[in-house]
Amino acid sequence: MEKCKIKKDRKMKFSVLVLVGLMLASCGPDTKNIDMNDDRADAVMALDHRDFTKAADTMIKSMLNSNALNKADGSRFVVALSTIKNDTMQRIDTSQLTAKIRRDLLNSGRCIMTTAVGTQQDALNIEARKLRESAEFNQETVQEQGQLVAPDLSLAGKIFQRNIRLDNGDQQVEYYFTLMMTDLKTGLAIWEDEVTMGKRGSGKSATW
Amino acid sequence: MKTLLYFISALFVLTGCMSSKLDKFDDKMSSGEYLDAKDYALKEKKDLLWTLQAAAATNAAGEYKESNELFDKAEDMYIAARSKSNASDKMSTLATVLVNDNAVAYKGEVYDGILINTYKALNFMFLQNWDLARVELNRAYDRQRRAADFYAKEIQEQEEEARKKGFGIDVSKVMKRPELQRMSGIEAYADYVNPLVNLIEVIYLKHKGDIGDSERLRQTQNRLLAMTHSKHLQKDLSTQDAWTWVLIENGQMPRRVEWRLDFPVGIFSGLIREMDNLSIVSIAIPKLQDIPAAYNQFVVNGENVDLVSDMDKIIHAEYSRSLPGILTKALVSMAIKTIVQYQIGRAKGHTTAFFVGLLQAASTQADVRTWSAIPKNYHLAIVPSGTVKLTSRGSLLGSAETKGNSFLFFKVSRGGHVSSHALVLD
Repeated sequence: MEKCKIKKDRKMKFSVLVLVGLMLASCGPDTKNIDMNDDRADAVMALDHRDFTKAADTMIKSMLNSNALNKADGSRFVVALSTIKNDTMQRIDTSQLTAKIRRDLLNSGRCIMTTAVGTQQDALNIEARKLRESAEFNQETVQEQGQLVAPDLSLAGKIFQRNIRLDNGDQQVEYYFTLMMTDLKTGLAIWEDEVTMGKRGSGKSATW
Repeated sequence: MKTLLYFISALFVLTGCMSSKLDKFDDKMSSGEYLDAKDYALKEKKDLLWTLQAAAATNAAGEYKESNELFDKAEDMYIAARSKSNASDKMSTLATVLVNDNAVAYKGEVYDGILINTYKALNFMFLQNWDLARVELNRAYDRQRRAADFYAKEIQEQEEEARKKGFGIDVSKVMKRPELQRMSGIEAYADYVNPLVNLIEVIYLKHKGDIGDSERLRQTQNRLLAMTHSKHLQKDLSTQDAWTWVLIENGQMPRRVEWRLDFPVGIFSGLIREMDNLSIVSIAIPKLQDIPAAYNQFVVNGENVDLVSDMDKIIHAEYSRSLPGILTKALVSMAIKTIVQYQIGRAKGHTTAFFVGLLQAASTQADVRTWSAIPKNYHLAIVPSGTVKLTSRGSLLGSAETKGNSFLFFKVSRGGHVSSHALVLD
């Protein structure tokens, strides 16, 4: 009788534990889709997609408004993407910034981007030329030598971060996005701009 | 009251015997069994302390990718633990006060944070991921900047917390005791800087930086030189020749041991009626114990090396700064436990009070946890690339062949086990 009661008690305790466990498990936040074009969530100290979009938009506008992309003979410049140096404390994939810039520049119709050289290459440019040695391919359809177009301009940049401690113990993080267009023939910079972004938040934790 | 007793007992059981676990891990590191040390650490609690130990052991074994995966996990835990102060975390405060610091998760030291990012940078360099190495060096630099503010705030928070509980503890009065005085005011390098970070940054910028980094390189090199007075750094490194930067990681950092101290009740400026019948109170705090190294002097290709980062000194300086906070916490804990014992004695009789007293004595333990895989010191030599020989007191400890500008990392364990890893910087 006593044994039976202990068993029943244990069963009851176990059921309560399982129930509490299930309740706790169901208490987590729900997953939500976000509108990447209109994300109104709280700002973060690190860089998020909104910062990259804002920086890229501002830079493109500045570049297109300048005369840098106006070629004297009316044709279009060939632009190669060079290095975008990440000098921040964030593990950023800088292609987040350059992909949008490349797309917007191409869509503007003011220049052509090359994927044959630079930091964002299409490996098939070289791979396709290796088919010259293959008997399996119709050699008339294989790219001839001397067809690749060399770039006229190079687009390089840097993202830099500076953290400052404020008197009230908070910290201010400043991000500097710098882009520069160089004429590869002369080595002269023909356009340059900088977008800065500031964030202020708790000083208790690291900003990454 | 029963619940309180259960709570105290449960926390006490969780405390465990940290010191012997650290001893076992340290012994494996000392004999160069780095993968065994990693496995041992990974079988322990998945907390910050053991993740750090596993990450360091994996780095020593030359498993850089895995080491960084572990360091990433450790850094997430370190950030989470540091984003809230102990004083504002009510459960932690309760556990610390009722048991001891061991009852709450290890939250890491300031130098731990700096070394996490420095070792991640080193791992990324060995993995030839130069972009992420730069990110980690920037983080290490920022951690050094933030370190200076940390202790002032932490000590202030703990004093406020003590006042809120009704005790005014004059820590400066406590610190006047000669044995504590000897441990205070120790300085290592200015502003919490660890020159190791600057050294890795110089190596990185010199060989992987671009023209835009030249001013940063010049400044970092000057700062490093001012701190270390290294003769090797003053060499004229002609670009015609290939050079090898030899970094020697030597020995083991100081461990923390328990130290019991007796104080007169008079140190409490607030009137604590329950302590009237006591004349002396005891607390247990951690004290640093230096660990002798197998070798203290090194020679690389016939040239004496330069000591570039003295971890013993850095750890003593950090302990010295945190000592007032450690004392405040231990005194508050002791006072509350004494009051609880007194009240229980009045309400439940002397037998219950006796058992609570036993628990109090047993739970008064110093927090001796520490990331013990950190070395005692780091040494530097810059020599022409080729055959690089490391010797000490005339005996050959290890040698390696380097080609082109290189980075050669020697690890000399506490027990004298030597391993090396080379990286081409060109």
